[in-house]
Amino acid sequence: MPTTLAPRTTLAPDLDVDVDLNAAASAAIDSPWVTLVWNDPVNLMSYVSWVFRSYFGFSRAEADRRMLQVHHDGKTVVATGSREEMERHVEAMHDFGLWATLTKADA
Amino acid sequence: MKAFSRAGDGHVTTTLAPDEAALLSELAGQIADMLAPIARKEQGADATGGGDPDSAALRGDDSPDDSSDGLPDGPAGALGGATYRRTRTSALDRLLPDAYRGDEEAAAEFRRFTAGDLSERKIRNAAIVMADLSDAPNSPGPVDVTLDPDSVQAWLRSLTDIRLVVASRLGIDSDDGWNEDSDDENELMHGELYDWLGWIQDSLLSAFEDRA
Repeated sequence: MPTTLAPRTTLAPDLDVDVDLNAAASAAIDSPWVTLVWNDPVNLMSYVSWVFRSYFGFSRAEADRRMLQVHHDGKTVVATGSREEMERHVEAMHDFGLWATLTKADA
Repeated sequence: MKAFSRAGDGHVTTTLAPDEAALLSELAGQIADMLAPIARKEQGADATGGGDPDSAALRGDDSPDDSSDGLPDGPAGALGGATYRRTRTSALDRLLPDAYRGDEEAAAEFRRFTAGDLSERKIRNAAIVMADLSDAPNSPGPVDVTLDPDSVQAWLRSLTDIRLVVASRLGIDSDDGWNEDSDDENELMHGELYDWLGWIQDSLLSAFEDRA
């Protein structure tokens, strides 16, 4: 799993797939920011899944799916919305010790 | 140490050997010490600079405190000391990572507004761990620990912080983990510490979620 991270320009292909799941809940169409969680070799899979459930309210199946996506693909989108919202999510992820960033969805 | 088990009302409980309790408490204290300079900085002040605070331990510089504790696998220096393998990410970068990739200005701005608060919260979590273990020094034998749900939240986060820093020292930057073939006894000791901390965290989470 890469800890050397891909440049932002390479993120776009995944976003098309992932963004829509949360879009309905938290984002208007014109809210072009996403919160990404990146794979790291330290955090336990059980912990990452728990963070996704306890903070984002994902079901266990959804949390596990995204956790495995982080593990296998190196990252996953966990939220979509305004920049301010995404900054709050990223700060919360850092509070949990997860490796999270935000970026423009179309970056 | 026993695995954590559910104790009702969202509480979980375990029993630790006195030296295990002392070690955990010491490690939590080291996290708090590392972050204190950042937490102290006023918001709006330059709280970033890519990990420049006066925290030699964080960056893995040699710290001369290895003799300050009687424990054989003493916590002193457990989070400090030299790193065994180089990584591109420092311990501090793992505790307070960049929020933006490829945009240093935005990352610095985010850090300026969040690093103080995040550090304070991490210090508070560490303080809760230390408080929950505060009976350990006076205990003649095994230490019983019961955590309420708020404490569990603090423990899960603080164990993560500790593991991130130990991992940084071990140079863990891939899923391959630490170097089990090392000839360096200290490295092996820290590797075992890292695995033990992971076991504790998983055990705690299992009990908390009642999967145990």
